Amino acid sequence: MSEGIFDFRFANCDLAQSVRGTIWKAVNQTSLWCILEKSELLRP
Amino acid sequence: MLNKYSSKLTQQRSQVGSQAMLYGVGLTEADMNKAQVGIASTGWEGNTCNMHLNDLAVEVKKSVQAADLIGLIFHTIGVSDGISMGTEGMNYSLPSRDIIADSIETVMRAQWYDANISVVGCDKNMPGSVIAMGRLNRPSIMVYGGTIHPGFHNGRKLDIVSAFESYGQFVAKETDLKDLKNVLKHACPGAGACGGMYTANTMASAIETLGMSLPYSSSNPAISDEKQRECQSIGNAIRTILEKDIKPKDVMTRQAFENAIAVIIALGGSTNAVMHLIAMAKAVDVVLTIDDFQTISNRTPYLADLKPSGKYVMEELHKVGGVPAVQKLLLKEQLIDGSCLTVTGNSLAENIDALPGLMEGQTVIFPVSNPIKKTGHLQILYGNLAREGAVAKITGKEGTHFSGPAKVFDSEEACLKAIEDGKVASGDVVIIRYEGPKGGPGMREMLSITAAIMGAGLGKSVALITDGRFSGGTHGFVVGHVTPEAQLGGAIAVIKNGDQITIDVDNHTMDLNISEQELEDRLSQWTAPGLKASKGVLYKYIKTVSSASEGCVTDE
Repeated sequence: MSEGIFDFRFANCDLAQSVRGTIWKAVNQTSLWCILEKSELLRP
Repeated sequence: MLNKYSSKLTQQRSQVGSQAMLYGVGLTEADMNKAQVGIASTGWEGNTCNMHLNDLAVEVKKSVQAADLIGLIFHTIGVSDGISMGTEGMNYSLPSRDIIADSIETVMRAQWYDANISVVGCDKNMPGSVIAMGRLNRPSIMVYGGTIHPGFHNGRKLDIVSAFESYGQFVAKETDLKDLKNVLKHACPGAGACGGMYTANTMASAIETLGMSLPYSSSNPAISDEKQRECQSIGNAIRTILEKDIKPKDVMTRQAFENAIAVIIALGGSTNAVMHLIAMAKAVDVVLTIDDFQTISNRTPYLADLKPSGKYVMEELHKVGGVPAVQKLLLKEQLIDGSCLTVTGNSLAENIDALPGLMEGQTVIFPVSNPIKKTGHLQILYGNLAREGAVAKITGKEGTHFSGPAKVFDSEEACLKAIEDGKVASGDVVIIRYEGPKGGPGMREMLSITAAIMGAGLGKSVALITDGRFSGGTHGFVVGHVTPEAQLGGAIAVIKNGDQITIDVDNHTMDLNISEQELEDRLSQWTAPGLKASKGVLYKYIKTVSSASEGCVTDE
């Protein structure tokens, strides 16, 4: 995710930081969307 | 020809006003030959479910433009159930579904857009947008705003329902004000829809299975790289279905609805799905009744250990494979039909085939051979208390039979006060009436009540019956959507304090244990109370809304 788009949307920045760390890890581990993109399903 | 609707404005020489204004918003002469995609956003700043949707809509627009189409963002409304819960504001929640449908239909038809992408987040947003797509029957894709991350406090995982239930614990003096406030401050850590298998995630999962959103749309978290990339993929996806002329009525077939119901039953989804799916089916002229939910519930196991009755949240389902992995499991067991077309332009089976199954060793989804419950949690009940049906959510953890004396309240507020005053006791069958589609109006959700009952430790010893609705966050022995509703003279209107009530889920019955003669006498003496609204949106809603068993639609 490009940094910044959601930053100002968090009501609680401390919470946002802790959440962000969790999520980057999850994305790197799972990357289901990468599998979808590599498939033929979304090809124009 | 991709611009078969917008060409009426852009290609006809006589439509000079249309073309002048479209040049005015920045279209070029070349743009006039392109298909126009109306991008509806329910974004607004005041709700975690919706606060990021306008940003996502901008990403969607960029991808639509990149696919050589014209993307034009417009906005419609939302109502936050979590915020309005427990107040008169909640009367506007269910009506908001139809306002969303009406407003998307209005802009799309009035402006002659060729396709629709709706970027939506909170409970009523999803069925509202898909109802509009069905009515329009133009190529359409729904983008779900995504689920919120769990909050944490003192090592405890929190969500919005934790906030409601912490109040019950506070009332029961099991926690103090400081702890209550800490739960409230940490329950919702930013953008995204409520994290358990509550109504928003239920409807998103149903709509992904129905084929109207891209794979993983329902489980990609709101704040994730994947959600943003989903938005960036939408332009190509909408172009594909424009070129193939795949329309909602091609996707939203009877079989696709049966698939959607099977998936939300396996996931332990919200009772609200019953009325929303019926309303969505009506938008595409598919016949779907509450009895279909019982039929599918009878053959579909309940598999997901997700909140509210389980322990995981949607983000954790995503980490182990998301909704496509659940679909894959159900397809393998022949519990869904893979032949249904989806907005990828491929069948559900083709989508699933390209994607991974459940992660090895995961514990979010139980195996079909060892389910949480062998049949579904959504149960349709009939009896002298619900001659036109009622919807129960029975996960098996609360038993399947309840009998006890009625404790009757004519509003949610009166019931909450009784719980606060310690006047609801173990063994009671709590009745909350005049909360139906017309009587409420708008079928308020009784989450404040069920959470207070849970928080007070009465969850396994009190049953609740209402002609209103339940939040997807509700758990316990609950029966809602009672029809006919009290305002229309249903038997729920004449229950008296102390009457014996029996709920028998195994036999799908719910009865007031008095003689038929006594029931007839009581009903003959009953008169309808005055309506709670005499003008404005709620008055129009009262005048047009159908019963819960008919999906609470407003256009029949």
